[in-house]
Amino acid sequence: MTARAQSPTSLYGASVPRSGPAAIATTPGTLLQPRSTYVVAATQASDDMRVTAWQDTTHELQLLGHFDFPGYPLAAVAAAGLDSSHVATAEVGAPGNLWLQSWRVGSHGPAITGGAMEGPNTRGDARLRRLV
Amino acid sequence: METRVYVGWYEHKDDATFAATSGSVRSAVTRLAATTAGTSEIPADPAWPVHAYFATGALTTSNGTPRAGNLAIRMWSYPIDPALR
Repeated sequence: MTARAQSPTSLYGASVPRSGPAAIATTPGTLLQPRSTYVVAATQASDDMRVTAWQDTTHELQLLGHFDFPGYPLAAVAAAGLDSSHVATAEVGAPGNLWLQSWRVGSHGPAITGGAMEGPNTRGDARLRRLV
Repeated sequence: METRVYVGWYEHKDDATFAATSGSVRSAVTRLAATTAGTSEIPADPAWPVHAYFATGALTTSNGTPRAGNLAIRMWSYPIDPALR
């Protein structure tokens, strides 16, 4: 089967300040609502880690809010959608600790729901992927 | 200098569409950033959409190290070729 390549159309966007590693994820859609509802970015801003959430209204990315971890410089970060209202992040801190965290995303932005530290002495990149 | 691209999510119907779209995404993002696209990840999530919708996050790096600035997030629509449905 031959597919004809077409150009994607840019719809709309948003931006967030960052001074280091960054990652984005979207919440997976459902059978009834296949299009993702939320977009989440995990970024480093100054020495803080910030998780920011937007709602994709299908007309714009509407900022919902953010959650900061003060004084948490990142060496690497990753993010993945878990279900229609949850995402996970993985952060390698500058000291070499790997943190895994889960977040619930709603109208007030991201709220942390759990976390665990794996490490220390982690080196390299961070990657997350949802197992379907 | 490169632009590192992260693709948040994506829907596709089959591998042929996936491969074609993947190339187009890189091309479009390259044009958007007016520089060279670096890495791109598109996780497979089979579905039967008329349009694929996906998000990208782009940042500028220097020698592999992210430079201070903004993470630009952009939503995209990609029309699925009716012949493939």
